[in-house]
Amino acid sequence: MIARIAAVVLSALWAVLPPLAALADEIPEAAHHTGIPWAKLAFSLVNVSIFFYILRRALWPSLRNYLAERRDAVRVALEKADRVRAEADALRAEWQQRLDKLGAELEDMLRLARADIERERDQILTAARRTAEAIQRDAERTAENELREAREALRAEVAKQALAIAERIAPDRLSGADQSRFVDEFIGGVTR
Amino acid sequence: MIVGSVARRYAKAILAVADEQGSLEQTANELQLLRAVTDDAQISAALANPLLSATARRGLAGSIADRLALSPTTRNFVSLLADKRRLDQLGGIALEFGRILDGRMGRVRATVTSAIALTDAQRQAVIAAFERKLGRTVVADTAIDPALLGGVVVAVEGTIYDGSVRTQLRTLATRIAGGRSLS
Repeated sequence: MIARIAAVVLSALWAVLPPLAALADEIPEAAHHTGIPWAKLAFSLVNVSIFFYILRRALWPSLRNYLAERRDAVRVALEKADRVRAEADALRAEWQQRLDKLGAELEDMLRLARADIERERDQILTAARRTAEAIQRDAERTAENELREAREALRAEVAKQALAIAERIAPDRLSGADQSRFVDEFIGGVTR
Repeated sequence: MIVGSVARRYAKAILAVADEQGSLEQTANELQLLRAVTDDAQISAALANPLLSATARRGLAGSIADRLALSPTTRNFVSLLADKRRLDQLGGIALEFGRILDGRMGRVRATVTSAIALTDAQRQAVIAAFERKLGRTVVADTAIDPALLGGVVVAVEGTIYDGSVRTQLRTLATRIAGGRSLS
């Protein structure tokens, strides 16, 4: 657009400058004449008309288009600016709204987090208590078993020792009368 | 001792012959003698030797019969066993013969074991008790086993009647130990 305007201006100058130079050459001579130089005035008028005609034909559409485009661009830019500003206002309002709610949301989040922590702590404590109780039960059961085993082993050992002693002293302690009694008891058991 | 079918067949055969001749008890006694002889490991090995010739087997059987002064019936039976290579079955035959004869006579064999020797009265009392219990005549062998400590053990028809002090003490000790093994 600027290049076109420059071309039009250069064309106009090319059309106007030669007559103006010629007119300037004739001015000292005109100072010696009296009356209106109609011919030169007409010539100048024609030149000016040509000049304005060229301007009207060549420069004006471009200038008008340029101005229209410029106006449209400004209008679009303004509309865009308005839209962006509206969006910004909406965004700001939304964020303001969020900020206003943020305190309550934070409180809710903190409350939920505390509730979760309490629940999880209770679960962990319950599980730990159960595990401890199970361990304690197992330990008690193991201790009882070991105690019973030891008691039975001790009793067996005592019985074994008693049997050994009895078997050792029996031949010396048992008399013929004892043998007769054993035989009688055996016969009684057989015939019963 | 487990008696095989061969020994049972021979036992029934000699029993039939002895029954015909009315010498059941004598034959039974002679077979018990033969059984005692064949219980000897060396004699048993010699009788079972497959390399022994028929003449040698017959000679061995005759020698044993002479030594034991066997009746002609038993002597012939031993010779027959030698010919048939069945001398190794003598122990089983004698056992089975005794069983069959005992069954026919209504007798039962028993072994009475005690820690010290029983008096005749005690022995007779034990035998009488088992005769009453079993309803048959009891023929008892006696044995001494000091390890019993006291009392009597009677084995009859595969059943052990244990009245020994040793077993009573062990039963008592096992009860004290709560059923736990004492070994």
